[in-house]
Amino acid sequence: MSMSRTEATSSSRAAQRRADRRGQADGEAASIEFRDLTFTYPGTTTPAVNGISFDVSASSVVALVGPSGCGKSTMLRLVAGLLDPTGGQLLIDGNDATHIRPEHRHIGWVPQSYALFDHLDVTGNISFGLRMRKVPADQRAERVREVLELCRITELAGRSVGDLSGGQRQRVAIARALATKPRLLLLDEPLAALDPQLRRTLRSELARLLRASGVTSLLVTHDQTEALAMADRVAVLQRGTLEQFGSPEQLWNTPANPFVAEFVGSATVVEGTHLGNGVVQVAPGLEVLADGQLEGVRRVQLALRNTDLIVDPDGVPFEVQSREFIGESWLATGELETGAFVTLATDATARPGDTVKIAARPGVQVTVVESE
Amino acid sequence: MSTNILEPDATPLEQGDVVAVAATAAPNDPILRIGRWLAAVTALICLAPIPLVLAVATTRVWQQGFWAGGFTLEWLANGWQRIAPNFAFSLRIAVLVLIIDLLIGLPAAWLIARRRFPGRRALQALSTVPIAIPGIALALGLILAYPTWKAGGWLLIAGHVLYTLPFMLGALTPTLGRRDLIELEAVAATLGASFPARLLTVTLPQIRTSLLAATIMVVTLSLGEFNVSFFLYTVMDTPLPVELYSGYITMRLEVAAATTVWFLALVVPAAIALERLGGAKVGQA
Amino acid sequence: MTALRARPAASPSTGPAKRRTGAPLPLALPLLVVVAGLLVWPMGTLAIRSFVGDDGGFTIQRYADVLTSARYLRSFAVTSVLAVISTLLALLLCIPAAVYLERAGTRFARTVAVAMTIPLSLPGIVIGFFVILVFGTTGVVPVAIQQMTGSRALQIAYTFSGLLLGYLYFNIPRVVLVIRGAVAGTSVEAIDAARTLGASPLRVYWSVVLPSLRPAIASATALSLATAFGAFGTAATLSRGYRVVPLDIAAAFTERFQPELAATLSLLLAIVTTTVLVGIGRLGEGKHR
Repeated sequence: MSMSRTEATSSSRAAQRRADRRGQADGEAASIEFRDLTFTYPGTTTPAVNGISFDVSASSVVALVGPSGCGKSTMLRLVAGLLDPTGGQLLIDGNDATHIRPEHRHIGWVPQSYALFDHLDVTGNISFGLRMRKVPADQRAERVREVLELCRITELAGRSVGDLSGGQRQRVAIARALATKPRLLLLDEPLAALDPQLRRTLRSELARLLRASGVTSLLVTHDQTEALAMADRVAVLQRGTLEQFGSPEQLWNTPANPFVAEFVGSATVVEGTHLGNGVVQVAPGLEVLADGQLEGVRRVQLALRNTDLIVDPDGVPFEVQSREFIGESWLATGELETGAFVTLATDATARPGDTVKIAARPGVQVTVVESE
Repeated sequence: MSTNILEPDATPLEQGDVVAVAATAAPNDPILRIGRWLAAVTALICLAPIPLVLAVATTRVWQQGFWAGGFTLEWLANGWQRIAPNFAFSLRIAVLVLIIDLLIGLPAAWLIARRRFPGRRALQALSTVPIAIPGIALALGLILAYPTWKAGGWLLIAGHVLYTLPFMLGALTPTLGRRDLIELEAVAATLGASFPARLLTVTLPQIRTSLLAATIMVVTLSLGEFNVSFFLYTVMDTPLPVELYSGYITMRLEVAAATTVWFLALVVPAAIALERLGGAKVGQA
Repeated sequence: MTALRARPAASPSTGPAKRRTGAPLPLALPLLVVVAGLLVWPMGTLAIRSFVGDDGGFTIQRYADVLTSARYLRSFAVTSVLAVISTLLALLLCIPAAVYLERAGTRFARTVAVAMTIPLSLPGIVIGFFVILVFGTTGVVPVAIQQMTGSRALQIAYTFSGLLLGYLYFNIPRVVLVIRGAVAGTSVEAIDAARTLGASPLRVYWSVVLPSLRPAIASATALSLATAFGAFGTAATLSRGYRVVPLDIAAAFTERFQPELAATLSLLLAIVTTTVLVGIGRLGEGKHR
C-alpha cells in the first residue's frame, strides 16, 4: 500500500463514520475467521485461548460451548475487541480486524449481566448505539420501533430499566445490540441469568430472533443442550483449545474425542474390544453393535447413551448404585464388572443396591469415538 | 412426622421445602433492648445541644434563664451580620477546594481504580495519610515548608486540599472500580461510543450519586475546618470557623449561640443529605 | 445496499496484550505532585526542623528535652487519659447502640441513625461551645438548676469533666459509624444459623456477632483514639489550665515563636496518632484472621 499506515487507518475510519452516519450501511452480516488465535491474561502463564482456528460463515449461528474456564467468554471478548490477542489473527469479512478498537468493529455485544444503562429508559438504551453513530432522530425512532417489534417488546418502550423482569432485560439487551444493524452479534450466556423454567421457552424465542435478524451470531454457553438446540455449528472448547467444530449432528454422531462425547453428547465413554463385524465387547458378556468402520481396529472407545442399554433378564449383572427420576423413567447408574460406570433407563423397580441384568438394546448402533 | 407446636395447622416440612428466615432480629432480644436505650441516650446527647443553642440565641438576657427578658431575634440578626462575610469567604474557599479536588482526584481515582501499576498501593496509602496526622501538624509542616506562601492565602487552600482530598479519593475510587460500571462502558464502546462519549454518557451519569456525596462532603469539611485553618489564615479574610472560635472566647453567650445557629443551619442540612446519599465520613476534632 | 468494509492497514498480529481500558499513567501526576509537595515535603521539613539545634546542627536534644520535661509529659498524660477514657465510654455506649441501629430497621432506628451523623460534620470548636453552652458558667444546666434551687451547680465546662464530655461527644458518631458499617456486613445467615442451632440471643451475640465485629471495634477504637489525640479545636475552646499536646504545639508556635519545639511536639504527636491508627487496626485484623 502506498498510503502510510496511519493514513490508511484514518481514511478507513472516516469511511466507517460516513457509513455509520448513513445509518445502516454496514448491515450486512459478516463472516469470522479465527486463525491460530491466542490470548494470555497478563500475569498468567497458561493461555486462556490457545491457538484456536475455525470459520464462522455469514448469517450463521455458532455456539461456543465448554466447561467453566475453557476460554469461551475470552473468545467473545476478543471478537468484540475488548481484549487484544497475544497471537494469531482475527478476520472479519476477510479483513484483519485483530487490532481494531471495539468502537469501529460494528458489532453487537450482549454480556452475561445484560449491562443495561439504568440511567436511561428502555428506548434510551436501544437508541444508544444509533445516537453514538449520529443517526438522525426520525431514522432513530423508526429503527427503534423496528427492533422493538423484532424482539417482541414493543410494549416496553419508555419503561424504566429497573422495572423489567429477567427475560425482558435480556430482550432489551439484545434489541440494543441489534439496533445498529451490526455485522456480528455476540451473546455471552444469554440464558444463564434466567429462571430455569423460562429458559426453555426463551431459548426457542431467541433462536427465532437470531434467524429473523439474519445477523451472524456467536453464542457462548456452558449448557450443551442449548448449544445443540440453537446453533448451526458448535465449537467445543476445553482449557483454551478447540476440541471439535461441526454441526450438532456431527458432534453427536461422530465425536472427535471422549471429552466431546461426554460433554456435548451426554454419553459415557467406555472402552471395549472389537470382536469383528462391528461387535464390541464392553464387559464380559455385554456386547454392543458399533456404528462405524472398525476394520482392523482392536481397542475401541464407545459413547454409550442412556438409551443404548436396557434391562434384560438374559443379560449381565449390574449393580445399581444410584438413580434419578426424570419423569418418563428412572435413570440408574452403576458399575460394570470392568469398573466402568454406565447409566441406563429403567423402571421404578431397580432400586439402589439391587442387581439387575442388562444388555444392549436390540437394533441400536453405539457411537464410536473417533480418537482411535 | 412431627407437627410444629406453635403452628398446629402448618403442614410438616418435607425435605426440599424452602423456608424463609426472618432477616430482622426479634424485638425482645435483650441486646437490642439495651441497644435501643443506649441509642436513645446517645442520640439525646448528640442532638440536645441544638435546640438549646436555638433557645439561648433567642433569649434577650440569658443570664437569668430561658427567654428571660423576652424572646428576640436580634441576636440572630446580629449574628448573621457578623459572620456573613466570613461565610462568603469560606464558601469561596470551599468551592475552589472542591474544583481542585475534582481536577486532581477524579483522574487519580480513575487510574487507581482501573489499572495496576507499581507503587499503586503506596500512592493510595500515602493519599490517606493526611487523615492520620493531626491537623495542627499538617498546618505547621506547610508553614515551615512554604513560609512565603502564607500571606497570599494559598497556603490555606493547600491545607484544605490536603485535608479533603483523601475523602474525595475514598469516595470515588471504589465507585469507579465497580465491575458493572466497567462492563457498561465496554458495552458502550461496542455500540460505537468513543472514549469522551463514554465518559459523558455512561461514566458520569453512573457515578453521579458518589460524585454528589463527595461534593457535599468536601464542601462541608472545608466549611467546618478549623484545626488547619487556624494557623494558615490571613487576617484579611477569616474563615467561618475561626470567626466562630473568636466569638466563643470573647463574646457573650447569646452572640456566640447566634453565630453557631447560623453555622448549624448551613451545615446540618448538608449532613442529613449526605447521610441519605449514604456517604458520611469522619473528619477531625 | 452495498456494505462498506473497514479497511485497516495490515498489522502484524504479534505483541503483548494491551489493556484496552485506556488509563494512562500521567493521570496520577497531579495527585503525586500534591502528595509530594503538600504532605511529604512539609512533613519532612517538620522532621528536619525538629532535629535542628539552636546552633543549626543535628541534635536530638529537643526530643530529649520534651521527653524529660515534666510539663510536656503531663500534657501527654492528660491527652492520653482523655483519649482513652472518652474512647472507652464511647465504645460502651455505642457498640450496643450501633448493633441496634443497624439491625432494628424501625423508623425510630433510622431517624436516630441520621441524627447521630450530624455531629460528625461539626468542628471541634463547636463541640467545645456546646459544652460551654450546657455546662458553662452561664450554661443551660447551671442556670436551670439556679432557677430551681437558687444557686448554680454543675458548671463543669472548663473542668476535666467538661473536656471529657467534649471528647466523648465527637467520638460517639465516629464509633457508631464504624460499628454500624461492620454490623451491616455481618451475615444475617450466620446469626440465624446460630439461633437454629440452639444458641440463646446473648450467646449469639457473644459467639457470632462480637467476634465478627472485632476488626471494626479495633478500628473504631483506633479512630477514636487518634482523633482525640489530635483534637485541637475542642481543647482550644474548653481548656483553662489543662494542657493537651495540640495546645502546647499551638503555644510553642504562636506564643513562644519556637517553631523547632512545635515541630518536635508535632512529630511526636503525629507518630502517636499514626501508630495508633495503623497498629490497632492491624491488631484487630490479625486477631480476626
